[in-house]
Amino acid sequence: MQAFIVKRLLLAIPTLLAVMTIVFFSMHLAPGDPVDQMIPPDMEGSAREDMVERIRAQYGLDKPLHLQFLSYISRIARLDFGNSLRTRRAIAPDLRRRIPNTLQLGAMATLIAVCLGVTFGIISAVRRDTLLDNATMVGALFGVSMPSFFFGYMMMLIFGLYLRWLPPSGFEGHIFQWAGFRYAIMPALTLGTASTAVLARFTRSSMLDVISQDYIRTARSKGLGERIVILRHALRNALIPVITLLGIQFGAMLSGSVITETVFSWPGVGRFLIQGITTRDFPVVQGTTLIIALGFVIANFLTDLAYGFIDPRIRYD
Amino acid sequence: MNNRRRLMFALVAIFIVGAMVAFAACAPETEPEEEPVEPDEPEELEPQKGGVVSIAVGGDPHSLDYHLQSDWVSRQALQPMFESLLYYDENEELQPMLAEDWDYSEDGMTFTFYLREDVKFHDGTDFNAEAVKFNFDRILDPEVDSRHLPTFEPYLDEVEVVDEYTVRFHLLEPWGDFLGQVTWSSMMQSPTAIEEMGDDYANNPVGTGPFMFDEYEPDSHIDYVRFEDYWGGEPYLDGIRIRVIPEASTRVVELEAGTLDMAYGVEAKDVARLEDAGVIVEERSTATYQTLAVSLPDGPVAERDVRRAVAHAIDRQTIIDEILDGAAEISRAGVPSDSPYYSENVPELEYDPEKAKQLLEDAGWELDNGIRYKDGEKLEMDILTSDAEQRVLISEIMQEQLSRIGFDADVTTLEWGAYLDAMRAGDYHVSYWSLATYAHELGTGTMNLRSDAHWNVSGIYEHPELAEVSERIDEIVEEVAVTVDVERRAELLEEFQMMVVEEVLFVPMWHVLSHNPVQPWVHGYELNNYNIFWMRDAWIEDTD
Repeated sequence: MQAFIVKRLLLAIPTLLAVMTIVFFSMHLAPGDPVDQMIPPDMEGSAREDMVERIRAQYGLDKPLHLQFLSYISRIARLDFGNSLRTRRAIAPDLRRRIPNTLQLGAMATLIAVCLGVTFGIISAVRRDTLLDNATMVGALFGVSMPSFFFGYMMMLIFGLYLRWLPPSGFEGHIFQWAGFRYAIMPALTLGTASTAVLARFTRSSMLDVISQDYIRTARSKGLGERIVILRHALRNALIPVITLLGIQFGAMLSGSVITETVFSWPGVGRFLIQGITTRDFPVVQGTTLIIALGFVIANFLTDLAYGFIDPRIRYD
Repeated sequence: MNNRRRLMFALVAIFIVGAMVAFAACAPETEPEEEPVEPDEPEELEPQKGGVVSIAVGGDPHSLDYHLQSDWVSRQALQPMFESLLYYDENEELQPMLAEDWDYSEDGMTFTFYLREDVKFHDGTDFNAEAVKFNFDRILDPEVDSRHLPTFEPYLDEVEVVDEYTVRFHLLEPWGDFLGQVTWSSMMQSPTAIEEMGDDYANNPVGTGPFMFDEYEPDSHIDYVRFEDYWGGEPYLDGIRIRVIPEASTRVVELEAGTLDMAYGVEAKDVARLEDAGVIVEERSTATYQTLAVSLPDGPVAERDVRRAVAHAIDRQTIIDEILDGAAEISRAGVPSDSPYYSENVPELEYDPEKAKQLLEDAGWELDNGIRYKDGEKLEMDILTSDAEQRVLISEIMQEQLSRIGFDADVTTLEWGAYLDAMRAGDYHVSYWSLATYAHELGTGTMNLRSDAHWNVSGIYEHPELAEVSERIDEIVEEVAVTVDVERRAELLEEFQMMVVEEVLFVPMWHVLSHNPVQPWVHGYELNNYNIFWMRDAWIEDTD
């Protein structure tokens, strides 16, 4: 088990290095000069050429790309995320403040997705080919295909404007108090919808697979109650692939937060990333993607560990 | 069975889609009519004390330390707590603020400000001439890396403390826009706070304004509370919350729901919807002008008559009505009509497609199967645009309008960063281009044609026939920069506008108007032409 954990952690290093390299070069090789973004024509139209060169030198953007890359890697190795080109503020504190916000939203969304998705999936599988099954699957199809921008906005109109049950957008501190929690409900639902749908469909097919197995028939013929057969015998086996998916979905949620956070004015990592991309703020994009990649790696790692608890047959050596 | 299943499936799907669409479509109308808003200004209301006003801005401020930012959003977000020596009122006139009076020497080399004597910073320390000097010395200190350094460095030599409440600025050379810069670049921050807090100052800013800093949640909100020792008397409001709401449609929903009191900027298409909900929408001109930039050295547009034909072929009013929901004023030569530098002597490039055709005809461009040719060369027009929806639409309409008079027009769409690269490289013929011009003077407009400007996308200095014009523009820019006298500036800028229209250095398009919504229960605020709300006398009605 320990060896497994160490091995997995070591394997994370090349993954993160690869992410850093790809992001660095795709940002720098994509057209668009970051200095132009620092003095955009509709803000600083009067900038002179000499001023621009000074800024370029100040941020080391005049150096050859490979040197910029090396100094970036060496800074990250020292856990220095650098300063934003746009605001000139250090990135690390900004990231630190935003990470918990995004994690809270992601965790809430995952909880929603698991509770609803798995439940719907089981019901669908058990009540296969009934109206309930069809309705659930149509709903799931809808959830998967609906753009989160649209869904979020619809919710905002319904619950924020017409019913006035929830504040339309904003952020009021952590979600462990009602004041903060009520602001998180709609964004978390928006973020969780697509995953709920994916999980429901996946749980259903996985359950259907398992239900047709011999051991289920055996369990039934032993005279066990249907509830025990489904929850103890079928579900535990059906959940293994679902958990794999959950790890991936959590990662997808981190990146999905980009849109949700913008729609609901939620101060998270996703919005930070979007701002960074649109303004060619290299250090922000690099820092944020690194954090998101790290989140992905951790989620997958936890998923692997979770197998052991769900399925005792899986060993880590 | 199979058919039944399919039918069931279809019914469920239709039901869900139908329900969503119905909700989306009819929802705005289901809003219960609230009591109608009084059409006219109601009888004089007595200002009430108390309450917090929330104001939405489009982004997170770059820094709470005024000297470390210079963007518009930061300024809007920091406005409640900071003040400068002077300010522009709603009529574009300079007014005293922390300085009661000011004068300048005849040669324009020294400016003297006489300060108010009753001003305190939020930390209780006195505002005086030393504080003014400290603030400007800090801007000029390269270590601080102030965003205002590039503005002041070329001109400002030294700030002298004459006596406790008199301060004198010595310039390196005359600077026409000095007073304008004083209004917005030089918000006063507490020297004591800056010295004591060091790097932490940006988390605890201290100014002299009617509201004090209370709390900052990055990317979410800034809270301000009333400053009781404010020199202008205690403000009515308990506080102000600046909310960062990047999505324009979210701002609209917040306003309709009444959970937001004011906002900087909503889209023109949402104005009617907000007004239906009882929100007052204030229209102001913005400090920007929109042009059709022309890459002068290459392609058919290198010919003046072709450029002129383009100018006459574009129906700007139609684009304003259809795409901008009427929220713009046609531009004569890059100066809005309420600017002191607007001149009616400058001829207008009016919409006249017949004239445009004639110009092309006379220049030897002959029509063949809908497209014009001269000496075997096609009349091509590469319209470049960024991928912003509105810009793409505008470009497509122009494409249509230019095709009608015989251009072989094509629209190229690029992502913003790539677009800016292409613009600077001159890889285009024409492009819809938006520029800022602060203080409603033509500073930026002229500067964008000066040969050493970073955003000179015209390539004017590479065009052999325009060499003289380019030189003259450089001279004008130089002279405007050192001229304080408003009349002389107006003369110079009129000459510049004449050249723009004569040579069609760019096609002046329009000046967009901004829309700033305010709830009917907010009173007493001032909104100037640069889209800054002054909240010191603002108050809210107790609406329960």
